[in-house]
Amino acid sequence: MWDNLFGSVDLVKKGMDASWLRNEVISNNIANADTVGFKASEVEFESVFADALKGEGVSLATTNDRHISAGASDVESVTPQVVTDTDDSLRYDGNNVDVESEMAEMAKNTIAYYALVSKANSEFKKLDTAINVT
Amino acid sequence: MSFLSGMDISASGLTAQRMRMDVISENIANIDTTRTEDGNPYTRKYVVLEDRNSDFASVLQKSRDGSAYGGVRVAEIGEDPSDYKLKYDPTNPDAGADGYVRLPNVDLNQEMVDLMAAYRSYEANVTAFGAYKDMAAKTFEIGT
Repeated sequence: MWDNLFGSVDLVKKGMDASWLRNEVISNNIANADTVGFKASEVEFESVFADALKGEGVSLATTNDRHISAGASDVESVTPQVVTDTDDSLRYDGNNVDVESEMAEMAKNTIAYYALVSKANSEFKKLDTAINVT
Repeated sequence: MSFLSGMDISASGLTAQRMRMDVISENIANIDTTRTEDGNPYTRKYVVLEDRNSDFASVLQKSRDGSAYGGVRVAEIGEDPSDYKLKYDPTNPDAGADGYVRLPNVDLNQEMVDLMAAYRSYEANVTAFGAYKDMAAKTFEIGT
């Protein structure tokens, strides 16, 4: 445990970063809800992160310095990815933003972020208890 | 990613939707204007929006610091090329030799529908702004 005192807080921070980025991406989708030809984006993080936590993550091997790795096999290297949804649109203007589902995603994301903040707080509280136990 | 850049995204959406509402207001205000500077009736105007990330500089910026989900901006205010409406009114000073007056190509129903759409989009951006602000405020509760 003592080699990485803030290990679990660092994991929570990763989730908060992903949540923060997702909020920006959703804001951008909503701002562009009336832009002709705009395609919505979303953030991919939780599924990759869960695989990495279970040790089931898959990444491309790099056998040369100039190779670019993709995917993440360990928890530290998982980063949130912004993926553009290129699906066809039902609208005449080629825009595929669904404002209703973006609003729902935004509400979910805000709650997830709040949960992560509470989690970080409880981790700090546990450390505080451990330090002050005498 | 900078801490409060998401607020600029929603703010750009608010600016763009307000511009749409301004242009719609102008169209409605001029619905009976038969004479403008160039001698023609008023021509209906519309707003073209574009993704603020679509030009080279912002794509470069985005790949350099991994942020700048730029939002939206007004690309141009276009003029509707459709035909003017004609009304037979020989007593009107702007009537032609045949007695017809050319009226603006503004359709009030269309403008009202567009106004509602712009207003709803404005509200969506306000909600997104509020969610962002709440999250930012919550961040300061870490460790308290």
